Amino acid sequence: MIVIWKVSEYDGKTEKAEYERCLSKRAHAYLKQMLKKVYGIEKTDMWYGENGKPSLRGIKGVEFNLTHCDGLIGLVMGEKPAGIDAEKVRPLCMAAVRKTCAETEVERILASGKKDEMFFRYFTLKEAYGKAVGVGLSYPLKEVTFELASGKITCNRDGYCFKQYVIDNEYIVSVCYQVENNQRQKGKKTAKA
Amino acid sequence: MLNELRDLICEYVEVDESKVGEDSKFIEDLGFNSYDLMCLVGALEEKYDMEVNEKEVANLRTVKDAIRYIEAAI
Repeated sequence: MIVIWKVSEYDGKTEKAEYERCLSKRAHAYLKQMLKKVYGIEKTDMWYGENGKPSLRGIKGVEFNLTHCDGLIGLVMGEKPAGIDAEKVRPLCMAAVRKTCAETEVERILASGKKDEMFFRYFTLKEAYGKAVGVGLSYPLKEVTFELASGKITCNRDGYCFKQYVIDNEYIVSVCYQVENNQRQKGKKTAKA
Repeated sequence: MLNELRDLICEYVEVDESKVGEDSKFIEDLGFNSYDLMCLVGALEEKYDMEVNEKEVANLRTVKDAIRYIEAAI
């Protein structure tokens, strides 16, 4: 299950860090509401893994992941480990492109008519993958690569499938799910973009 | 070094320059998100001709951490 909430955008009147803190609190409040609504879980005892991935202590079979960005909160919940990342499309920062994308991905970004959007499509996929695995962005980002041709998402790593949404032409949301071997055979690690 | 870093930080996040100190935490105090952090780290790599391993990025929690890292690398 994927849930997206549109929220107030940053207005520049407060510190950005304060806005981010409010978003984070709100995201956790939404998570609690959804855990209660979908799974009947009333009390949540959250613990955080080495790279900051939150989990529910003492509850098995419920996996979730949260994301927030300027104006949007996202949640993925289910039985299998999953990761979600949302970004508001912003002007391209070439230093970040070179830091996070493989050469083939950089070429595709630069050849695209929508360079900014194309970069955030790759970036959010990489972060969603890292969050599903539980390592965040602490892995060799250029080694996990994606193909976005023909409306399908293909990754060079086995065991995960991906979905991606473009919302209001300004937000990119990517979701990564761990899949079983038989599902992987059927799906060939692809999902419609 | 702090002044150089402060200028770079203010390029990527909306924060008052005077609020950026050595003890400032990138995420909690300065409002960095993962993309902002990658922009900053990428820019530091290019400015100081060094490489920051992705696992080490997670350890750069404060401005002081970044200064120490740069000073050790260059």
